[in-house]
Amino acid sequence: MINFERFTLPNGLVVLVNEDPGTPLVAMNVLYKVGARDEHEDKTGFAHLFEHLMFGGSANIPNYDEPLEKAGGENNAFTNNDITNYYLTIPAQNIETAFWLESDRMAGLAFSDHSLEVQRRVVVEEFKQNYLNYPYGDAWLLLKPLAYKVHPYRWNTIGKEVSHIENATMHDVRDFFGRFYHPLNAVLSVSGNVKTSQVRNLCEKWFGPIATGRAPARDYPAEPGQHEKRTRVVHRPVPGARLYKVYHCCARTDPEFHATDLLADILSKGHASRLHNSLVRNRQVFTEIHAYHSGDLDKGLLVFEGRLVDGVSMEDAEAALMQETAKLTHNAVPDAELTKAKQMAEAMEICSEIKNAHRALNLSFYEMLGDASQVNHVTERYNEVTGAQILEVAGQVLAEDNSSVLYYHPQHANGNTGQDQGAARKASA
Amino acid sequence: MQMETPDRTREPRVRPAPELRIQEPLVESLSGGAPLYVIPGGQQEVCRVELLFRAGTREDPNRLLAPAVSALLLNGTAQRTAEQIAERIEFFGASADCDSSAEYAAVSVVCLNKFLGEVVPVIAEAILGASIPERELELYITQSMQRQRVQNKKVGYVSRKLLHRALFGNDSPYGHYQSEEEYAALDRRMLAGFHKGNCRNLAGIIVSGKVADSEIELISRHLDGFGSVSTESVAAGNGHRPQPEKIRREWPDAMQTSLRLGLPLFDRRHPDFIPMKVLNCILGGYFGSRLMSNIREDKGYSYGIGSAVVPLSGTGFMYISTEVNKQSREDALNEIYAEIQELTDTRVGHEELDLVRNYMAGMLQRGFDGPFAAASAFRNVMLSGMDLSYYRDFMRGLMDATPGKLQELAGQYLQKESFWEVSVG
Repeated sequence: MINFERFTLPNGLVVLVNEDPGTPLVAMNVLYKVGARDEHEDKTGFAHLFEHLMFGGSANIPNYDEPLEKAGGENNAFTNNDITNYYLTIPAQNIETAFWLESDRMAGLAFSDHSLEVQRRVVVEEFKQNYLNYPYGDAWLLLKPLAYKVHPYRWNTIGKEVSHIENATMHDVRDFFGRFYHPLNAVLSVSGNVKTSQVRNLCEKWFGPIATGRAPARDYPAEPGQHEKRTRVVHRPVPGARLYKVYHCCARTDPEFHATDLLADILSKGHASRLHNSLVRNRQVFTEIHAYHSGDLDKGLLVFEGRLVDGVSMEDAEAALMQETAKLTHNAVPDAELTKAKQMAEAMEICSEIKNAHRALNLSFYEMLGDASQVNHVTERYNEVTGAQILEVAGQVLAEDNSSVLYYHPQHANGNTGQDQGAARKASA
Repeated sequence: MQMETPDRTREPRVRPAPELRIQEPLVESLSGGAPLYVIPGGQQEVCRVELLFRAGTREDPNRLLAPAVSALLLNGTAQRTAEQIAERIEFFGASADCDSSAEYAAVSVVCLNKFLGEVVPVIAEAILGASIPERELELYITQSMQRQRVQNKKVGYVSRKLLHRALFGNDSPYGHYQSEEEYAALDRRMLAGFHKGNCRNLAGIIVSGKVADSEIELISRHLDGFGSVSTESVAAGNGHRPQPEKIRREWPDAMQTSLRLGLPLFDRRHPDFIPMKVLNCILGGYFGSRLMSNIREDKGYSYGIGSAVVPLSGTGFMYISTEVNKQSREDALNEIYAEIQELTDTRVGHEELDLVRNYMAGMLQRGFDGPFAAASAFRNVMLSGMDLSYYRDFMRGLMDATPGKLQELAGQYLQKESFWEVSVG
């Protein structure tokens, strides 16, 4: 249970406060409703590059990190398909430094050309480090455009290709800031050793004078229904084969989200889940296999990622996985198994409330979904799910025609490059 | 209410951290003699129970058995299979993680208070009766080998391995990395023997979270089958004293090069330990550090760079690590060494030192935020045979690290020729 208060500044900024006198710290979370789905298809990776630039200086503060560190604070940020989220923790006595820093960069950016140039290079190195230089790092670069043909989820947060980042201009950056970085498109939450009245005063002082903005249009093209299985085969210099299979499923805010999430948990959460027992332990098809809902705000994916035991063929591995998923489409989940999934969800939810930083993020996140108070009804939502709903979701989602599959093979030393139909990057032998 | 107009050009006044509030754990004793430390706190009806065993690689002359045994502690007894044990834990939403290091093996259970009575006895029974079934061992070997093959394709992992081996020697618990042959040769009878010798006695239990007497009583009662053992290891320390070397592995297809520099240092008890932590922080220990400002924020050679001072049992080391754009390897190395040399050549300014002290004091506070964090902070010192006064000493030590002292330490420890240098990619 997270007790909180909510108020809205005249400029439209929504603020949530959770008082916790038991900690010497304060966590602040600023969520901007902008992610990779808001990018132009020729300028992908921009929301994430922008996240880097937000540390490159604002109108009155040449460097964001230094004053925060001097005040004993620490921060980070992340970008995904839908949101860009900035968070910090700071000793409670220095909370005003956090308001000064976060309000100044909402009020206006002022970084230099040099900063833009350097961050372009840093993000290119991040791209290389996480997506190109490490084994299997490009799997999602290949999967997204296989699963999505129209919706902007067809590219990754890091971007479609390095050149999009290299070509970003100062004009692009200013335009992006104007559209998405303003009080109407943000949610601020504070959790820790504070009083709501104190936060209200500080908000009015520091965020109050910032000009409001216009809510950005959100008319993402809907992904049409998929009616045919899509596949892609690649060979890469990796030590073992992996199978990636994704199915279109509901959005984060759809009523069937919780049933879909429990379905994934029943399949793969923990060491006594169906896929682990059957395919890892007993049949020894995979050494590891995971299933999860992508959690996106628009229609998302139910994802399976499996690492094959050496010597098992891709066909046999996929067939074994399909036998397990077919059970869920044919037979209702036994009550005890559903109870277990719900109890796991409840424990997860309670554990996510332990840290102030998580509480602040949860409040911002649920407010962005529509109503912060829903953060206190998550366990109820899971407990309402019935076996019949899971059966229905499984029937709708787990159909072959609705799937996209990436067969990721090791490339053998004999030079067999297989039938790779031209990935964005040519992997060398 | 009167509206204040903010002066955005002036940063709000920074106030010093209040006295660090460190709660001493309550200490109880199990009937088998092991100490049970309780760190109460938090609002959520959940707690963490950590069982600590003196079953790390130090206790294992071959270095092979300890990680395998800790991974298989909950994977089967004569009466129950691994699936059955996992089911009885996960049904109640609890989770149990096993991990091991050079010094210790630990089983960490997170459980809603209302289910402690169901979960704790399952954990105790599984560990005490662990039979290391053949099927589970085979699965462990297959998984470990596959994971290692993937890791060996990563420049960062390989450079870490090469540095640790070079610093401590492949026979040392700190330098040993298992080969595929060693995995394949694991024998269940030897594992069972190591389990019998090392996993039936507890070196300690740490319970943290919203726990009252009734929960403590319940946990103690269900763990009464364990004996006790002191935290002091009988194993020999690390006698390895090699000469610095440069190790290079060229990977023609790699897009980035992992650079890892390191040198041996000392453990937490050494009088220079705390000021070295400060010196390290200035060099590469936080986002605003000199290395980060230079290599990432000024040059854009890398997504990130960092350095750390790592205390081990009776020894320790420092390392600097980054993955850089392949073309920039030599430039990055030159810049890293220039930053190291600068620490010897020029005294740190007071402004930078104040910032780093405040940052480190804030980190220390964060290390005690919430019962689980406080339990981890306690565990770190407890396993080194120290107590929480270490953290109060640390706060004082931050203030004693003067520019003159830091310059002296840089001259003493951080010379270019003292560093091992590994480059992969």
